[in-house]
Amino acid sequence: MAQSWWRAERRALVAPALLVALAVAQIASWRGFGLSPWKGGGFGMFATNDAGAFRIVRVVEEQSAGDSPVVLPAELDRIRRHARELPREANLRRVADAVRALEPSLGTLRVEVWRTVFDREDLAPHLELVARAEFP
Amino acid sequence: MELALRLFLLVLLLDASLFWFERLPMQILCGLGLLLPDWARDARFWAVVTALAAWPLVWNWPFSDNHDYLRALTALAAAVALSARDPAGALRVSARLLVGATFLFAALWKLGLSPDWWDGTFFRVTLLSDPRFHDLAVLAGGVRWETLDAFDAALVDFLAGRGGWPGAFVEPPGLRPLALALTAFTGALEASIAAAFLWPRPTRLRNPLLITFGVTTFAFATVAGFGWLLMTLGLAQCEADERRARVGYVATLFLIEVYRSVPWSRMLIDALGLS
Repeated sequence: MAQSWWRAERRALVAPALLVALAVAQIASWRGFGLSPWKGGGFGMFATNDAGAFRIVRVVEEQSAGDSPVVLPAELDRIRRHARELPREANLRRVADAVRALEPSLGTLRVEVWRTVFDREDLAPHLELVARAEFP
Repeated sequence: MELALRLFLLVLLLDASLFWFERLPMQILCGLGLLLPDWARDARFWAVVTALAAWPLVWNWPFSDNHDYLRALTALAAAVALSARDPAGALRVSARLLVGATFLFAALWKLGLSPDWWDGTFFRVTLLSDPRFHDLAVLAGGVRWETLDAFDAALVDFLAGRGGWPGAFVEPPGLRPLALALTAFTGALEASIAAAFLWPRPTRLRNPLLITFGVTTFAFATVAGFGWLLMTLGLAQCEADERRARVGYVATLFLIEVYRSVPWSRMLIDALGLS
């Protein structure tokens, strides 16, 4: 006779309960910090085009004459991807600090994370801001 | 239970982590578990497997894939079940709920949270941009390779900030119906699996639904590790009298490997003269 899950030993519910807790935390992190829906253990993969590959991290130096883009070197790729997947302010600050460590003369830096949104009519992409922070 | 645990060890051995320092300890331990059956029946062994599966989630945060979490939780379920009064019964319940909760959240994301799922935009873009789905787009959507190349080149330029979007891009006529069919099929199947596995009393429908998911989804979405894990969980939650379902899960697990290792869709494209 098949056993109902509500009559199972409590310990059988430990792993499923942890899965639910992780998935709820993932949704909260998406809402609160812009976490990529594909990451974090919430099973949002293959649900949306808001994936890491369609996100962009931009760093610009704010100058009186206008913004000047800063090219991120390959050695900062892991920090860049970290900010891309989870663009909370602490991760954006890590990008700015890492860039400044390589080029100390840089002024105020603005770090932005954008996602790609595709038009439902003709699939033309445009960028939508996920997070932005300035670091003097 | 024994078969499910041994199969899970095999899955852990084959679907190892990217980094050698994560992969090697797990592979050595799983190899020992396969060679020494007494170890694989010991909760302490599975506690160590759980630790080896879980620490990369912290180390790699937030880069791990969703099935990496499910893998660690499956190991935890095995460790906990082996310390229960009825290990096989506890593992059955844990596995059933892990599958149900996985599909509950997968369906919630698709049907409730994602802004670009319902109208088919997700699949329209995925069929054009994700190489894993290109064969499906050509076979079932009538998409031409030149269109895929043009979309890819335009997208790469757009993401690199090298230009806007070519206004002349014309969506192939067969793409939207295919995307809408995939959207409806996937959403309905995942929601049905969640309901069938979370229903308080196990329903007979749950095994055909999960096997259907394995047979269809992984034919193109070659995330073999996730497929193997789901089939192992399906096997673990089978009742003693569900022999045909157990055979179905094991057969589907091997079918997923065939999908991964044999370029069947490309061979079909060549045979049909669509290359």
